[in-house]
Amino acid sequence: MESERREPPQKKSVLVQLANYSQLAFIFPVATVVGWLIGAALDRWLHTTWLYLAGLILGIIAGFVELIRLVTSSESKE
Amino acid sequence: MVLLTLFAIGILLIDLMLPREWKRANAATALAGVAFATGGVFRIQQFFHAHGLTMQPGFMVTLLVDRVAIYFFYLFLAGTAVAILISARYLEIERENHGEYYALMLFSVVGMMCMAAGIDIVLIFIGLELMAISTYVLVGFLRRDQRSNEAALKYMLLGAFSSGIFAYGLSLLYGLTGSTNLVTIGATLQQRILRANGHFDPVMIVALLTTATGLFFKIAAIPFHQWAPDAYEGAPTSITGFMSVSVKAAGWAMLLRIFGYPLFYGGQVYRPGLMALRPVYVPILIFVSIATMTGANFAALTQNNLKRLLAYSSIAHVGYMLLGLIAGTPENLSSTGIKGILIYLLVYTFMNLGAFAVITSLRHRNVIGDEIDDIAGLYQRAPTEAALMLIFLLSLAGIPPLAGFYGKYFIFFSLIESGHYTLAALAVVYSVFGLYYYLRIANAMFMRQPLEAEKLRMSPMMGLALGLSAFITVWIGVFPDLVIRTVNNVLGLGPVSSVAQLLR
Repeated sequence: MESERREPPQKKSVLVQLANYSQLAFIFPVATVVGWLIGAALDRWLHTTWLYLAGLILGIIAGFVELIRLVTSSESKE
Repeated sequence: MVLLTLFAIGILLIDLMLPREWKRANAATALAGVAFATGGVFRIQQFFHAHGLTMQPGFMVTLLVDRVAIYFFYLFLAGTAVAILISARYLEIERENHGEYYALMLFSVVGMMCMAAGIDIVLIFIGLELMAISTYVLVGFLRRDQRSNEAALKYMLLGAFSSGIFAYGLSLLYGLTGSTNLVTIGATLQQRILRANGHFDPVMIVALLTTATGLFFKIAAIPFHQWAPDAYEGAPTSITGFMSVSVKAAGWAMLLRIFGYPLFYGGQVYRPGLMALRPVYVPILIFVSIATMTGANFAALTQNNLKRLLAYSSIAHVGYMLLGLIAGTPENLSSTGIKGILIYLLVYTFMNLGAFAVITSLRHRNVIGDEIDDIAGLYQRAPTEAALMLIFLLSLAGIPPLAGFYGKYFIFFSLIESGHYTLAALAVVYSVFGLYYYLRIANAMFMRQPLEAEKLRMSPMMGLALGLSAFITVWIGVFPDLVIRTVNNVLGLGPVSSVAQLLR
């Protein structure tokens, strides 16, 4: 179809693109899990019960921020 | 169904008498048709409630109106109403404001209802074709646009091809069982398997494969999705929205009927359709859903056309929903999985139509408005629409507290419940990919400068469609209990007393 031809030419090789995109898969889940683990560890160390939740929320926010940074940087390169 | 058909014929007749400037009245007539049909469905529901019925066969036992069918009726009618609201101004801009458009929409809804309530493969097939033929014409409705004509031709050729394969599968099922009734087909297949000591007849496998291929074509699952991005891109934007929700929901209704969910009637459990072949079709579903999530998410990452991007996103959502059918034991479907699919289809209807409504509103004189560049700086040109689009995008990505979260939640939960941990992890990872390409659109709307300074004007009908979609997307997200209780009731899962129980 006409639209297939209208797609921009791909400058990067497929492997580079794959490597770029594969980091997406990990940023958000890893940030969330790391935040939760740090919070849980702090809970054990300080004998509290709520820091795991704070860590989890911080992890999610960090993952989100990193993802947005990735989007804006890749869009500005284009 | 009768009411919708009468209104569709009425629109065709009234359209002949309407002067050009009054053509918008067709949209109002179509909306009235949808409203009357909704009233009719409500009456059926009340009748069921008053007589303590859960299902009622009719039309010489080719139709079986059960609670799931009624749920789908409401879903089709709601999707159609929003699509009509989106269409009115769009068709004026395209100078294609003809009554046939709305009549075809209503005819296709009649087809969808036959697909959702049909218990006989002949009626289901007739419903499918009624819906499909109406949709082929709607895709090519922009007669002066080459893209629209090309999309319609491609859609029709591939659709006819898939219908052929599907009909072949159904004919094999009839040959194997001597019946066109799905309940009898289910029972006969089960008896044959029992007689063969659990072995599956090769003809059964061929029947399953051909039927499944036809069904996967209709819901656009990879590797049978090739028609979807082209048809979605070329079709009028309002029809793209309609196709991506109502037509897809009808495909799902048919898929659930044929792949089967148990029916409880008179103290007995019936396993209609291909349920007896579940141990064979679950591995096929696993392959198709992984292929669909992988292919669609990767393809969506590089799209610059909004309609094409949402087409791939819509294919990816099919991948997630298929996971709901995998959940459960090899013999039985998980009730949480099917609950997830029903909730997903409901929330998807509103969030996706909302997103398409915003894209439709970008269309004005000389600007097609379906590229990412066209949405750049939308926040400066139309802040309300930009904010609503952000809500729809985040909901599509499954971010709480928006409606899209609950669709994904129940499906992922059903996978964990039935021990499919790897599939659940894969689905979560692919959801992040989804978030990335939705954020690309958000980035363009909020961070980039607009290519043109003209403010966007929103018609009252478009405003209503957007407001309604956004309200339901947020409302279900914040107060999900009503929807969850409704779906529990539809599936006969019994009352629940606490929020924690609701989320199980």
